[in-house]
Amino acid sequence: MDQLILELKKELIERLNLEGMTPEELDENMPLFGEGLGLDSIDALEIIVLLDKNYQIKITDPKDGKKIFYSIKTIADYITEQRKPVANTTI
Amino acid sequence: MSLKYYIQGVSAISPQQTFDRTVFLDEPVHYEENIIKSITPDFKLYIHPVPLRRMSRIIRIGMSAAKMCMQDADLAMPDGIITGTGYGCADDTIKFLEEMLVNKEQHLTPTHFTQSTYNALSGSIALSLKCNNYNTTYVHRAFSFESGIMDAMMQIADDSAKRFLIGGFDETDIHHYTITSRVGYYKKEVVKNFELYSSGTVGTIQGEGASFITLGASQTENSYCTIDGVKTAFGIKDAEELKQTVVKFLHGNGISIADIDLVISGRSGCVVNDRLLIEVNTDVFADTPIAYYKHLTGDYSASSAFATWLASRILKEQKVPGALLASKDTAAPIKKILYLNQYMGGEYSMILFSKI
Amino acid sequence: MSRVYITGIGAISAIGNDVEETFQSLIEERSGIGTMDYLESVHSAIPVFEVKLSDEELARMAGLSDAKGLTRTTLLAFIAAQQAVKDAGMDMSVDSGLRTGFISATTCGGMREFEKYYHDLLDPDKKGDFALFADTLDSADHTEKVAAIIGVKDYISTVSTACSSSSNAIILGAQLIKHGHLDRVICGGADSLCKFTINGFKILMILDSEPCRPFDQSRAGINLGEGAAYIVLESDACVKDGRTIWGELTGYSNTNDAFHQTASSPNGDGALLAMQHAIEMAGLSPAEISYINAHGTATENNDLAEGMAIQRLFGDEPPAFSSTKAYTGHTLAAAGSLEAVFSLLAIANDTVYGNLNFKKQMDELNISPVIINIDGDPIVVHHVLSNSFGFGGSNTSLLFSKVKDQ
Repeated sequence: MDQLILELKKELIERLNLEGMTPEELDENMPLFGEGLGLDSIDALEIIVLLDKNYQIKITDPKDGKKIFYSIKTIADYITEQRKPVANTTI
Repeated sequence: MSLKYYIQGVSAISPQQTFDRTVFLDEPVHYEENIIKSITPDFKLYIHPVPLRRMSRIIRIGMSAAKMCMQDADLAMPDGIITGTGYGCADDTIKFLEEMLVNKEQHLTPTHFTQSTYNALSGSIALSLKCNNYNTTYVHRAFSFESGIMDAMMQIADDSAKRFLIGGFDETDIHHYTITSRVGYYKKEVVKNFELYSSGTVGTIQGEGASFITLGASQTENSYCTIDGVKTAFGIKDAEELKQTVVKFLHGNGISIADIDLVISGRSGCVVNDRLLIEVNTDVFADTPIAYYKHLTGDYSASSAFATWLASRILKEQKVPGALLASKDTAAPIKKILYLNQYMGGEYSMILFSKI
Repeated sequence: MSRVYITGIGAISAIGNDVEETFQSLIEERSGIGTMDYLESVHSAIPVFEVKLSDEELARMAGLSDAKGLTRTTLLAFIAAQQAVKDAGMDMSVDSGLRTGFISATTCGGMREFEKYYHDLLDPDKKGDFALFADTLDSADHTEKVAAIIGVKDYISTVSTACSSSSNAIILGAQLIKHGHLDRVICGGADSLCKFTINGFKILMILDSEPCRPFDQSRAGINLGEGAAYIVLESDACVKDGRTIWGELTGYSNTNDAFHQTASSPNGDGALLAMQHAIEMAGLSPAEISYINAHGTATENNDLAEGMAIQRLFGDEPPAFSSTKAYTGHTLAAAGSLEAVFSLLAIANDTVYGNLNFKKQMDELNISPVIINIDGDPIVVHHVLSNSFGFGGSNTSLLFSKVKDQ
């Protein structure tokens, strides 16, 4: 999980062009949108592309993103959850 | 008393040090490459960090130039924002295109698409100012900035209290450079920018920049000069037709050739595309000093915005920088400047400026 | 100051290759939606509103023997502009002494060809006819080529403000007439379908894979279309007895939402201002508007903003309003002038167009669009407001009015 969070932080910094920020400065529990990091709807779309490209997770309705993208932690939780069924089938 | 159109503020970001107002091309930068890029200011001085994060380089340049111009004119809220550009946000356009072709239309970057629109800059300026007023973007090669001036002048004539922020911007792009070199836009050999006009070959060098003016009907303390007229000419067949167009333009503004104290020429260093301009310069303006600027900035669609910055500062400061390689000295006082441009041999335009 | 009259109209889109076919489709409530037949894309399952003619067929239709190097956008533009010129009875082969302009709009210019030949164009060793497209991505390319074929020399320009582009081209044309710079001007816009825009709107998740449903609670985005439309504006002095006049451009306004780079403010602030100013300019009151041809793209955001703006300006009983996007798709830069043509046809025929695919009123609104065509006796269309909004916060409203004795 910690590895995934670190990975996500790095990917978000690059994809969202969070200039000058380091993974350490990004708190995984901080809200990404609104009062927190101040991301907006286009950033949400960028995160959707990131999840599809790097984690093969497709979000078809941007509205679903609201809960999932609350913070880096919630995104990591969602990725972990989506990965589970795949893991189950291989056991 | 007929209406006058005052340039109340100016700004320029270009491949020369032009955003520092304390200098005026005193120490021009020499380049030996065919694509020359802007010297940029610290963007954080002009743009809030949140929007800055996602802005492309040219939007940052354009936004900073717009803010500098508004500061210069002491203008907080323009009555209209008008930009002119040839290729717009070329970098984002090409990035999105390449990503689309290489990734086979999958996993694309939304930001590249939203910033690829030509009005991304005019929209971003409005957004940063919360300005609900008139907002448009002209995209007609070397008529883009000229269309903006024409548009603003008419709206000022409708309501003389209005003040407009008008800018021209374009960014260099290696892909576009390569592709349009097929049709002779750019030189095959590398030239030194200060030897552009003696190269004797086809093509020019690619440049970029963003320049803004504030235009209004009142003479403010800071005002630089007036714009008396603007004319775009398309489908010019020969030098004779260009001469007639220039003379008619001057007469239409109630002046003659002898009234022009300085011509700023949009000569590009291309032996083919400059032909008509050179003929008009030698025949019509044989006795008039002629100054050049494209060796300083490179050529691009909206370079007339830079020429406007140049004319404004010359008329206000009554000084022609040596870097402009003028054909002869300009006698004081400098009262009227004619800007005469050609772009890739297709578009010809002229703007007439007067000292206040 | 001169008034501005419309003396000619021309249009080509998925619902018709000329004005007559277009009007038939509108009154028969026929959508131009279909499969992607002429553009190659991995997203070919997405429905589009194509002009069902190949580039070669378009060139033949335009009467051009040599169309090499002409992009699809240029061909569409030329066909529609030529129709408008003919409709206005302009003979460009004789020197009328009238100063004539051509102002066009596009969002993507020659992107369709540029994206197709991009890698070939980048390779200096590759030769072929494709090389004629080297500088056709430039927005001015289509304007200059059409102007040259038609024979317009006095004034040309090109506008690009995303989806409101051609409405802003019409505004510049009107200003040039009012200020006496031109006697007549052909204004409009053109865009052909290309992978660039399909992918762009897809990645923004506002491209619906079903037929678009403007102003409907279930709306889920736009369908893209292609086309071109132009109108001829003329001054007082040009409009003499006996000439057919489609209407008068009595008001126009361009404002900016200044809310977000791509989204409209939920309350429709910019849209409200644009409509208000256009109506004020015409010296009318909102109650005098007969019909609103809405922008109505069927994105969640646009229709909410525009619907709110209509409700704020006109109250809970607004004039008949509808979006015609479900007929033509969103033709981007052509949308403003195409809908200007629809508005002028509405005035000439005293008809308003039903909003296709509407079923359920939006939860946030108390108003609904008209769902079937209304024409003839029950309605006389005096004043039509035509809205076009776009990225960058661009909001433009045009107001067309019936000319007395028309």
